[in-house]
Amino acid sequence: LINNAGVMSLPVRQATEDGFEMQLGTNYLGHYALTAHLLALLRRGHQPRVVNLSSLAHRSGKIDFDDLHGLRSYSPWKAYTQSKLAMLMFALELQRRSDAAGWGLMSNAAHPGFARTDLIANGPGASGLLWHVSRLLQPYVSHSAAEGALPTLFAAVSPEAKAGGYYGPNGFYEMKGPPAPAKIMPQAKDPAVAGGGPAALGCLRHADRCNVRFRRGRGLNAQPTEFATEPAMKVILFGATGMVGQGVLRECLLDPGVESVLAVGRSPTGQRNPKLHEIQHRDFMDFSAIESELAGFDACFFCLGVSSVGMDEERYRHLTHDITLAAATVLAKRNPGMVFIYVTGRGTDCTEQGRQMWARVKGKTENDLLKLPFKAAYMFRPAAIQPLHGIRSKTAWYQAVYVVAAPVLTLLKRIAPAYVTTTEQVGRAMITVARDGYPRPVLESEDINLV
Amino acid sequence: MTDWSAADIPPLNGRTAVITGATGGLGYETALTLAGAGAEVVVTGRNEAKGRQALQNIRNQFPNAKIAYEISIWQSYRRSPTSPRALPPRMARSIS
Repeated sequence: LINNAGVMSLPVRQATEDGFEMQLGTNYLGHYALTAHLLALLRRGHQPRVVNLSSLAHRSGKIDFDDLHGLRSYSPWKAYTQSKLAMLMFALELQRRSDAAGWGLMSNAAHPGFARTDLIANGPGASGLLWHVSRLLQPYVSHSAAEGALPTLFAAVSPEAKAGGYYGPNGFYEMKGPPAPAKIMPQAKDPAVAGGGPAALGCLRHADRCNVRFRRGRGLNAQPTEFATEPAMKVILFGATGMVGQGVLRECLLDPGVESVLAVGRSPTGQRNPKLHEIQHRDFMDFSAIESELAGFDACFFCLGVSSVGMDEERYRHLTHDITLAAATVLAKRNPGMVFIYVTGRGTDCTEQGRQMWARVKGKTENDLLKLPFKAAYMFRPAAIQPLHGIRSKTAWYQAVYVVAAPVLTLLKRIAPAYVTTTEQVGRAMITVARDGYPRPVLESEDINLV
Repeated sequence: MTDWSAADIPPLNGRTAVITGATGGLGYETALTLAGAGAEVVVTGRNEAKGRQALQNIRNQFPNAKIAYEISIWQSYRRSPTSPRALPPRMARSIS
């Protein structure tokens, strides 16, 4: 991830949509938020690197905590130097946190020296003093944009680049020349600001001080947890041995955003993983014996389900509606902050009046779940689900159908992508929706694939 | 590291890079070089016309470049927030 975008020295104070001063918002806060969001993804990459673009200008920068956004007094250059200092501090801090938490990231920073780009024309414009000075000096002290990109490229791909390093041109005052380690000013290393001690998480805290949310997804203010420690989503999973449940379990165990999984079921999952705990429980209408163990969870993924084929309505209703509600009621009581996600199916009938028995029963189950006092409840209605990663259905005839239908599903996925989802997509979507929410309580296949 | 240059970049096939603000200037040069070395590159930038132009220019130099433009990386992130593998096929779609 190369955090490169930037604006320089805007002559008049401007604000981002979120109300941040434009240079701080564009150069630093946006990248901070982006990096936080992509962190889980980066960690799954091979030797991932994050490169932050700083500048020679960081040398005169100062983080002005009393007027971070230039509301009291705005100076174009001060705002720029502050944003570039913040980028350098962020790079160093990210490396420290990665080292402390074992994320395996390489975070470093680079600056282009004096490169001939549009940055000046986009900022102070062709009339400012800087522009005149630049033009006068350019031939002697500047290099091309391609040369200016070399320190960034070095930081991003060279085997010689070091974790927590800072690279710039090696010439006079680091203005031009091939890449070499660059000078980091002491204020960029200030632990009181950059966040060594508990007193000030400092630089990374700008974002929470601003207390701003993006229109969708997690707010900036939610992210320092991701940087500070392992994100802590504790998941309880019902139906972990079923086809959907196996897929969901797999994604939960793989996702660093999930801290632990408690699988509650009649039979063991047969899996061993430090994140996985299991409770074997027989009576799904009565959880009183294990109720105390069902507290302290952030999300419940309820993937328990049976086929209605050959079953009368009463029995199907008991196995589908009553058992789900029995579990959900206990969970809602014990976990007021819980997000509950229930797997139903396409065609579920929330009028509860329709002709198809299973759809009516599922509809009533959905309706009753949505009435429980969870923080949020979501109904996942996948249509065709393609099992991946060797996952099998327990229902013998389903499994037979899946084996036969595999090529058909693959084809269907081509021609009607909205209709087919995979066990992997269902699992990932559950984790994302539990963490970030979704605008609607019911998610059809196409929603699941889009999340 | 004396006189390190773009020629020293190792082959980057199979690697994925996301570069913000890469429709011009330093970001563009960075994207161009990484794409030329075989990386799959996602460039972002607010100006869609410049985005298209940047892709075109890169492809003119490297016809096999695996490169995509997103007006906002948030869009591709939201489509597939947990899969590094998911980016390249998405990229393929946004190329067309």
